Formats: sequence, structure tokens, C-alpha cells
Amino acid sequence: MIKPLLIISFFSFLLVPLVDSAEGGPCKDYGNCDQFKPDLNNMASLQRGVGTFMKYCYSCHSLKYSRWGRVANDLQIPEDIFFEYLVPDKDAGPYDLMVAPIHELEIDNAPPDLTLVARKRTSSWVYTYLRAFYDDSSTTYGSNNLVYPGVNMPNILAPIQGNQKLGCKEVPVLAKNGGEKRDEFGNTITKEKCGYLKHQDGSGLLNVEEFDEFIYDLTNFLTYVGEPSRAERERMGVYAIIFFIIFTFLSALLYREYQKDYH
Amino acid sequence: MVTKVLNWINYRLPIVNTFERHLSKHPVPKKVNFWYLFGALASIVLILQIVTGIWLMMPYSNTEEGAFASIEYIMRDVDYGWIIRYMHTTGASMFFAIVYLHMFRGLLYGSYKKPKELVWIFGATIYLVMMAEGFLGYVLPYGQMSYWGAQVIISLFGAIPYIGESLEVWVRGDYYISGITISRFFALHVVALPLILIALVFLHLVALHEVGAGNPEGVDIEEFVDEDGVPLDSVPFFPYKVLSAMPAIGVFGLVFCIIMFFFPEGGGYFLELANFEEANPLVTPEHIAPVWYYAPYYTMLRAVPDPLGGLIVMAAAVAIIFIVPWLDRSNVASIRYKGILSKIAIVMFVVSFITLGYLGTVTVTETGKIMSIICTVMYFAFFLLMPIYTSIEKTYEVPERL
Amino acid sequence: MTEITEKYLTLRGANNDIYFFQKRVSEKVADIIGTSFVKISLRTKNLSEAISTRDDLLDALNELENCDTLEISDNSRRTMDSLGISLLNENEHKNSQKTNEPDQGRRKVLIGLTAGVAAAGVAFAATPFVTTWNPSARAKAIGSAVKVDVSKMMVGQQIQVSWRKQPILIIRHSSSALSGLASVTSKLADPNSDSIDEPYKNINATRSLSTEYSVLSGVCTHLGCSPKYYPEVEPKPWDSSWAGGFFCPCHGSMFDLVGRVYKGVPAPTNLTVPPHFFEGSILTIGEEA
Repeated sequence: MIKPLLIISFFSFLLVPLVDSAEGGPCKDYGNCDQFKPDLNNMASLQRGVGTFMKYCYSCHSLKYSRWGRVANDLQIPEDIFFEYLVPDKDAGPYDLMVAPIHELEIDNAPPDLTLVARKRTSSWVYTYLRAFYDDSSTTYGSNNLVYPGVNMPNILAPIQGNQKLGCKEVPVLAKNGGEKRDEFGNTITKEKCGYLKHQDGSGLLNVEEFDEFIYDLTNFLTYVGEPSRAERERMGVYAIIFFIIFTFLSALLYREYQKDYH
Repeated sequence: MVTKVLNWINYRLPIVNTFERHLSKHPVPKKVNFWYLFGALASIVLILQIVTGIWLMMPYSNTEEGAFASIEYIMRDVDYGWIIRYMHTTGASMFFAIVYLHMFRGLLYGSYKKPKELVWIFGATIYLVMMAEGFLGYVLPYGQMSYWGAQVIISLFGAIPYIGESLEVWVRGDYYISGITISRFFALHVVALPLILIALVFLHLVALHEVGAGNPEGVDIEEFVDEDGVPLDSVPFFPYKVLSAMPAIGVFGLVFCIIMFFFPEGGGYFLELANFEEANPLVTPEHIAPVWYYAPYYTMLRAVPDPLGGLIVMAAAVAIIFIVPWLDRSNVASIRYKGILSKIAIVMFVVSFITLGYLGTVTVTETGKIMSIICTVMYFAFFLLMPIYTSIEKTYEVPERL
Repeated sequence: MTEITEKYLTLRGANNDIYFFQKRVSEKVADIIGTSFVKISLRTKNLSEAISTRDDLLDALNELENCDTLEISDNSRRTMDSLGISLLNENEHKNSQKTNEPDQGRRKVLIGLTAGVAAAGVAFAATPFVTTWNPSARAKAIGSAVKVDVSKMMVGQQIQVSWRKQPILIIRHSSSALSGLASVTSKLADPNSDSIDEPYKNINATRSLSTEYSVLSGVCTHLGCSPKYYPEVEPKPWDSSWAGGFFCPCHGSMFDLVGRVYKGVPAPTNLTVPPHFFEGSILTIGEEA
């Protein structure tokens, strides 16, 4: 009798009502972040990602814990090509850290280092954030971000993405039980809600799908640089698991064999 | 030749006798269940923590400027340093998981009943030292969560009347958690507390071997012995217990590797995301949560509106574990032969402890506050009412032998 | 409900008035009767009757416990039969005993396999503990190649640069010094650098990739002191016919101008030549071209 009860009680935390969980989400005004699934074995994507990073981000953001040679090597870019086309500092060697020139000056409020951004904020946050800029003439840089309201950063990718503005749309009204409210004819009741991103088609270099892919590659690279050994870690993990399955199986056989002595 | 050398040594230092008495020939109950495997697993994780800890000390830098960067140095620049670090962080969480299960086994099968009171007390002390050890270790990376977690815990000292504030400064050695705090925490984490921990584990085992290991039936196997005084229902530790531990080690290794290689952050419960940012004494992270293994006590702390009251409740929650041997008045040890009241009580206890743990990791809400008060009361009721429900309930006949 | 204080007896049945016998039995007995927990109706409501049946049954169980052959008294067998406890027949019992005989061959194979797998696991687990002691990427960064412009060096001058925090000696030889090298060959232990792994063997008299410059590791092959440069051809306290070269102040080892060791000194081999290459007047130490 006690056994099933104990097992059930181990899951008792599921009984805690989750209704009044924290306001907003990690992605703030955007709601839930768009899910991002990294693909660290997709070298083409990572190579495009590092290209984007060097072209658009590196002028302000460093990767101060990462080294050039490691990135070239892990991303399978030949070192001479990597240093010729991607590394702006011609004196940099493979073992040098990827510190942007702006960070070699001691200035206050320098843009943050991005080595660990994908670990600290999660990759999904980065992926959502980079796509959630919109025009907002009330700010210094003329743009704002739904994921990071009041962010103090220009929308550097605007020419690529095109114009994005806040707009409104009709959303279903939710009843207290979480379902959609319907009128007496069975039609869903909607109300106008604002604060949605509206993209102006054709205003950028890339269309929406292409831009999503562009940001995917960049986020994939930032995920890689957050933990460069991750792909290797997951590869090794498979072997470790196979090892322990074999070990458990063999030692269980041995245990049962010796158990006969006293059973 | 080998025998000769061994005899020579044994005559002067009884290693062979000790080895036989405490390891190879040590009699253990022949019929126990999986709950009895966590002790062996805990000792393996302790060794793993010590070895990986020694290796992490080498590249780690215990300075305010260098601590956080040295963690990234270990993760990137040191050859396979990331494996050692993930072993240590996963090991810390696994150590607590195992010790919680091991302690729960004690509650289930009365592993504290006479004459095992001292075994229990040494065990409870190990748990207490482990909590301190875990806390100190968590501060060392000097990330945001290290800093603010330490800030909260050290501020608890401030709640002590009269001496509180000066005690806080004394513990930190500075007016904020600075380089000197890290380097003294480092010394405590890598030398002082591990020494105490090893000594306590030694005492825990010696005391256990003196009174004999228990079993899920709560039967005293020493009552039926053969001509040599060896209990009939026992088997020698080697090879039988070693062999029974091996599949358990295999399964544990499997779980360990799945976490370490695929989910080292444990969804933010083992390595908190905010700790991937260097400590900044001027900016508090949005959501401060303790690592999961302190969460139940953290919830108790939050359940009480007054910091001193919270501190007292939290301390009492740990302290009460020490007196369990004198709270249980039952004439049987194992839950199998205890009455219905004990069974209800233990289920309530598990529910309250796990709920407290869950609540400690989420943001405070109104419902959560009420739940945490209810669960804190349930937690204490389990212990404080134990003398009553264990003495009035009807127990069942315990078999004579295993 | 009446309390029963008699051991192993309990009241059950629809009206809670029939005596039952309940007892956990040893492993051995359990094997014979097929259950480890005997729970059986004594088919009586009378306490004294129940006690006597219980005692009979306990005797029977004890007999089973203590015998090896399953030969128990008729009395006990009758008690068991009447209560419906059947013994597994003797053959079956013997058979089950036989299969319990340890199979030593199987054990050996399993021990070998498990130990082998475990040893492999330990070896793999030990690998990271070994590799973390290798120079880290930071150490490699500090120890990466250094570049020197050697065009400003005067003839006969020696300069010292640091590569991997070790002194590297660069010497610009005069042509007369190089042609004079042959004169000391007879005093050298290993003039052709046969006993060491010479990287640029038999290319230039300087032992380097240049016809004019020598690039030498300034670490004495004896015990690691740094030899000093004495280019003058004049009598020295350590050698009255000194033809120029390196002298180690620690233990008196002597080397010629291109770092070849003299006979009869503590140092066993010539000074080593680090990997290097020249690009015009730019010398890179620590890397091959």
C-alpha cells in the first residue's frame, strides 16, 4: 500500500497550481520566445553565422573568451582564408582572443561581450530578440525591441530585414478556463490587441523566411561560441552511455550468478 | 612472498585484520532492496568530487578579477577541462540527490533506531557539512547567481540580533563579496570542509560497522548466528555486496552521463543561467533561486515574513533531523510493520518536502506563499508529532529472520 | 474485536472469528513449500484448538528447516497435508539444488568480461585527467612563434629573444668566424650533430636555415643553465686556447660558436636549434615555414 502512495507523492509538486506564474515570459512583451533548436554539426550554417557576426556585430561586440584559431578549426574554415576574409586585425594570431577594438579602450557602458549570451539568455531568446526590433521614433536610435524593451542599441540589421512596425490584430478572447470564448452562434469572440510586429514586405534585402534563416545561422554561431565543446560533448556522451549500458548488463549477469550462492 | 610481506606488516599494523573486518568479510544482511544501494553510490560520488575538485583547483583562479574568467578558461582553453568541470557540477547535484534518497531510506526503515543513533547523527552532520560545502563551491565561479546567492545567505547572519551586522562583515572580510571572500571560501571549500567531511564519513562507517547494517524488515540479524558468530542471514561484503553494487553503479553512471553530456545545466536547476554572467554587485538578477537542493529550506525561509524567524525555522528544519532517533517511539523499525499513522505521516512528509523544493525554485506568488506555509507546518508536524503517532498506533509482528 | 496475543495467530474470515496462521519462513523452507509467507486458515473458532494446530505446524516447519533430505516425520507430514501445504517432490528439490551449484566457467567468463569493460571505462575516464595537464590554449598563445628583425644586428653580435619564456640566442657570424669553425672540430664531442635530432642538418655551417645567422636554444643540455657568449679568440680561465663560443657559468660546459659541445665537459649534447625560418631579414622562431 505504501509503495504506490510514495511514488505518487514524489510527483506531488505537480499539484502546485501554476495559474499565477510569473508575469510575461523570458521574452517580455513578445510573449514566449520562439523555440530555437541549434544544429552544431551544420558547418555551413555556423560558417555563415560567423560571417554575419564579423560583418555586423564585431564592430561593437567582442567574444573575449574565444580564440580565433579555435573558431576557424571548429568551423572547418582553412586558417589562411579565415584570417584573410574574416579577421579584421591583421596582426591577430590563431591563439589571440576575439576582442573587438572597442573593448581595448577603457570606456564606460561599452556594448556587452557576447561570448556567453546564448548560455545566459538561452538560444531561443537570442533568436527571438534579433528578430523583434521595430521602428520607434521615441528612442535615441529610432528603434526598439519587444524582447528587450528600451534596449540601447541601433537596429543594425534593419537594411537586411526591412521595416518592422508595431501593429494590432484581432485575437480570440479567452474564457477563464483557458478556452476560446464563443458567442451564441458558435463564432469565436475576438478583440483587438496591439503590440504585434508587422513586417513591411519587400522593404529589406531578404524576405521574412530568408531573414529568419539568416538569424538562425547567427544564433547557431552564438550558441556554438557559448560552449564550443558542446558538439564534441554530445558525441562523447553517446559512447559513454553505450559503455554504461554494457557495463550494467554484464555486472547484472555477474551479480545474478553470484546471487545463486545464497538464494 | 606477498603473504610474507603482508604478515610482516599486519604484525605491526593490523591492515589485514581491519580490511577483513570492515571490508572483505564484513557480514551484511543478505536480503535488502535497492534503497540500500545509495550509501555505496554516495561514497563513489564523494571520491569523484574530491578527484575532480583537485583537478579544478589547478586552473581555477581565486581572485575577484580572475575567478569568472578562469571558469571559462577551464571550459575552453584547458584540454578537456569542460569534462572535469561538468563532472564536478553534475556530481554536486547527484551527491545531494543520492544523499536525500539515502536519508529517506533511513526514515523508511528506521535506520536510526537503537543502537544506530550515532550512525544517524554522523550522517546528519555529513548532510549539514555538505550543505555548507555546496554553498561555498557555488560562490567560487563568481557569476551573478554566485554573488547574489551568497549575498542572500550571508545576509542571514545579519538577522542575528546585536552581532549580526558585524558578523556579516567579518564573514565577507569586506563590505561586499570580494576577492578576499572568494579566496577564504575557496580555502574552506577545498581544504577545511572536505577534511571534515572525510572524517565524518569515516566515523559514519566505523559506527555502522560496529552495530551492523540494517535491512528493510527491521530484523536484527545478529540474533541468529552460526558457530563462528557470523549471522545466518548475512553474506560477506566481498564479493556479494560489491557485486550487488556494480549494476547500481552502472545505472547511476548511465544517469550521470545522460545529465553530464546532454543536460549539464539541468534545465537551469544544476547550473543556473544567470551564473553565465560575471558577478555585478550593482545589478541584481531578475529571479534569484537557490540550486534545487537547498530549495525546500529556502521556501521555509521565505514562508516566514521576519528574517530572524525565517533563519530560526530554517535552522530548526535541519536541526530536527538530528533528534529523530528519540522522536520515534515505535517498537518496530521498518515502515513495513508500522501502523497506518506512520504510513500516512511519511507520505505527507514526502509531499510537503517535494512541494517545498518546487516552490523554492519558482517566483513567489500568493498561492505559493500559502502552500509554503502549509508545507512547512506539515514538515515540522511529521517530526514533532512522531512521538505521538508512533506510540499510539498498532504495529505488526516482525519476523524473526530475514 | 478481541486482541490475540498468541504468536503467529490472527483472526480473520467474514466475522473475524476464524483463526489463521501467519508466519514468514526462511528461504530454504520457502523453496520447499513454494511460498515465503504462510497464511493459512486453521479452520477453527476455538483458541486452544488453534494453538495446538499452530504448534504442530511450527514443529513441521522447523523440521523442514533442519533437514536436508525432505524426510520428515509422518506426524508433520499429516499436519501439512491436512492444512493443504504441499511439498515440492524430492526430485524437484534435488534438481533445484543442482542448478544452484555455481558454474565456475560461466563465472570466470563474466568476471573477465566485466573487469575488461570496467578497465576500459577507467582508462577512458582517466583521459581527461591526463590531458588537462597539457599546455592550455592560453599557454600556447603565450608560447606561439616570435618574430625578430635581424638586419640591424652587427657582425659578431649576439642577441637574446624569449620564446616560450626560454632564452633563444641569435648570433650573426663573420665569415672568418665561420671558416674558423673547422679548426676546433677535433675538440668537439659531436661535430655533425649525429646524436641529437638536428632539424636542419648539413645545410649550413651555422646549423640554421641562414648562411650567416645561428639560432640556438640558450638552455645548456646539462642542467638547464643559460650559457654565455664569449666570441673573443683569446686564452680564457677555462680554456687556454679558446677559439670563441659559449661557456656555461654553472658547471663549466663549453660550446663552439654554433653551439656544438666540447669533449670532456658535463653537457652531453650540442645546444638544440629551435624551429625557425627567415623571410628576408625577418626571423620567425617557433614555427616551420
